[in-house]
Amino acid sequence: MTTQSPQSPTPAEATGPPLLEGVRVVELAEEIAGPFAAKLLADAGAETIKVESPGGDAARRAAPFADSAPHRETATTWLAFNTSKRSVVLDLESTAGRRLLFELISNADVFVTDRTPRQLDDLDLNPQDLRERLPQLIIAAVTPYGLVGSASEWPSTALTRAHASGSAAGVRRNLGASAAAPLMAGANVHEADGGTALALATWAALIVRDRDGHGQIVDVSSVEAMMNMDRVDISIAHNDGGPPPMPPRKGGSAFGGRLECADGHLIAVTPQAHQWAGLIKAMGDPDWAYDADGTLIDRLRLGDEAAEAIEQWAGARTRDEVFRALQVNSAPAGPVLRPSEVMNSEQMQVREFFDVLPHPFAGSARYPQFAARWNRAGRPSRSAAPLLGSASTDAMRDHLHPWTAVQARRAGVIG
Amino acid sequence: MTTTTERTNGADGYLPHHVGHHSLLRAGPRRGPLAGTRIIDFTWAWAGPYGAMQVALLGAETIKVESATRIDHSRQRSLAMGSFTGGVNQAPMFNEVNLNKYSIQLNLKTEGAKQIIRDLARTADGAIDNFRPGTLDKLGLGYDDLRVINPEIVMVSASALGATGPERNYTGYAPTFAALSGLSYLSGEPEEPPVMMGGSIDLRAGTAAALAMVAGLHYRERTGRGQFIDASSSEAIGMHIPEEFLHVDLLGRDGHRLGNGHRAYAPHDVFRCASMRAPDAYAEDHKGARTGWLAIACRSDAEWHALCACSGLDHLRDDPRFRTGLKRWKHRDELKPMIEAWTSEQSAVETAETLRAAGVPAAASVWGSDIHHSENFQARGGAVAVRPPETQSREVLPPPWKLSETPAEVVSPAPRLGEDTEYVLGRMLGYEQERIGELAQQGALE
Repeated sequence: MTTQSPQSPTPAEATGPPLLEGVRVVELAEEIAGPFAAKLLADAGAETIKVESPGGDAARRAAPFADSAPHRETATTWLAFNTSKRSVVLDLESTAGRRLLFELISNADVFVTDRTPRQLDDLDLNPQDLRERLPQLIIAAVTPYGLVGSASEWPSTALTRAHASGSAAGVRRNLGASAAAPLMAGANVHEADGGTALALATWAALIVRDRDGHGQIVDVSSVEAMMNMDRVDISIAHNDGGPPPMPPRKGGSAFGGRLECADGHLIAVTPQAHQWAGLIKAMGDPDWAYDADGTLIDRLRLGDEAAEAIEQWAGARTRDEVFRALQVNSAPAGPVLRPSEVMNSEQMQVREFFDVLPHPFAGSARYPQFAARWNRAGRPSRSAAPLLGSASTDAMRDHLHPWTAVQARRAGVIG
Repeated sequence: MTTTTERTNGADGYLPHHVGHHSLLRAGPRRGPLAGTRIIDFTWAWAGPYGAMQVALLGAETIKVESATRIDHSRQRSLAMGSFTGGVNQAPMFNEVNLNKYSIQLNLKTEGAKQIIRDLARTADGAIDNFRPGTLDKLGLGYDDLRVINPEIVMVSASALGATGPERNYTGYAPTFAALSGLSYLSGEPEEPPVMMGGSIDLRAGTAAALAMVAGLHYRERTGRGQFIDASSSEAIGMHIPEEFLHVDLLGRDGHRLGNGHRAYAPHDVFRCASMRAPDAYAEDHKGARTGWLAIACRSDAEWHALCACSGLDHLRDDPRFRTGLKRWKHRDELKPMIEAWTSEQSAVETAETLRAAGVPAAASVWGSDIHHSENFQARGGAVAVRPPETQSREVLPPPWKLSETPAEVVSPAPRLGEDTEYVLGRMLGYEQERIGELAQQGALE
């Protein structure tokens, strides 16, 4: 039996200020990677202004929408990656709009952007120049291929980036079929990798800035961020002369595998001897697992018959039955859950991994948190993604001189 | 004392940075943003070590606590893959997720070793582990023990499902984190079963743990307060796919597997090519890459027209089946073999270049050496050559961030098991040689 561990400190103790209280972020980015980096900062309490063009972030136009009809406020990708931000619309085609953007950035600690070097030049925001003019600023850039290099202006999409990084070939390895085409993982996970990488390095740069007041340029290539996720296998392929063969996986008999239970799939992974022993115990100690003197047979010596027995055992049970039976015997396993099942799992509910955020057009929905609980830093209250331009007047009020907000709006400089 | 960074000619003429063994002790002051920070690293396998390694790449002095009585799986054959057949100091997987670290060998079941951890904790800024929740507590080395010694310590404890909740004692690996987060269900071809995900999942979980550590260190700088951070590896994957949970609440349904496809665009797929490069540009081309694959995505009529012009498929441009984006998407299964008939006579790398020059998003689907040979990869600094103990030089990927003022860098290969025990005890903690001898005799340093 698994022994119960002592309860670790609970989030209930967390009464300190939020992690990034008082940090100011300006974001000029669209779709996934840049917005996700800024969202991670915003959800941690940074005051985050997202600057959008009058048409808004491209993610606002990406299906699906909360109501099936397209609406600029209800695209799920838009809502998911822009929590806790305020939206300011600026016409960056105009000199006045670009001046206002520069003023916003001048007052920020971090400028998150996904614009390429050429696009930044066109906005009078060349990173090197910006670095000289605003030495305290952290310029946090996540671009497909990086700010420097020979590919910084290449056209790309999430698909081509996933393949250019090796990530898709990495997913194919898991299929175990060398003839199959390389394959992206689901959802937007590869794109999100660029966001977490940028948030991590930016947060580290904030430590330096708090110490000595100096900002810097953080240059993250989305493709390289994805590449690093597969760095172990890429390195073995490069240095050891070939793609590493996948271990046998049939029926979870050796290192693990995908099992088909009565109500769906389950993954079991038992690389260690005691985990294999746990799997056998969960199955009720079948005879074939033991030799004549009652010793558990090394799993590598067992063949297809064992794999079939495991498959049969799992196939006669639900995912949940197999999951619990394996886990109480220390055999790592997990049911392949649909997102809805993740949301309804008792574990996620007890841990409050999701919180409900209301939105005036999309309605209320459950949004995942950051994947950790803090026992000191207080949890800032999050908000759903902002309506397009809803903070334009407020956020820009101090920067509009000599105009009034009405004049600026009429002139189309702010939206 | 100088860094042994130098440039050497690679086998085919390109120039990786070179970091000799064991340069950590000779590397001089670190330059990364976490320079001057000390982290105790209790992690093993992949996710935790990669989390701690990122902190080490950012400049933190990272001391990995290991034991011959409980060897890190990734030093062993049980999880080893590829050509590795060697001993615990020769595992390529271990090297990849333990660069820049010190290794101290301690049997944490002995009182002597526990005292060493307590002494280290007094001088440390952070600690990270990926045991089952409560494991370090049972050893008397949990957060509640360490904070008594050092109230400012930041402790990240990363576990499969977190330190609270009914499943807190459950264990897992990358494939189970992906299964429990919803990502596995969403990965794969539409008509095929969900994909069992592998190592990249661990490194994603490690990145979330590293982010938690850096956030904790930043908070400590600002407030003087340490804290306990309970990180869940399954949640770490879930946090990367927030839109999928909104589909449940706002659309009333789960998402589905799209493979290489897209909800609205076509062509949006990967196409088989005659070869990766033409002519085969490098001898080390491995089996998996011999067939080239080319990813092409068209988001607009303009990109589609450019693809038609490049591919000699001009007659498709005005074909009524493919005239609009919606029609191309509806007829994407008819379109695919037509494009593939063209790509199957081309090489992936050169064709991708041609398409991009015409404004079409395209990329060869690369792996292993393909990456190391790409021009942009090299233009951005390329690989770093490290020479792990007891093995030949290996080229590893550089850190995923370029910081202009406080660069993250690879300064050393992964350490031998216990390589730095004497250094940590003698130089960092100031233990006398006699005391170190006694600890060894008591079995504390096993």
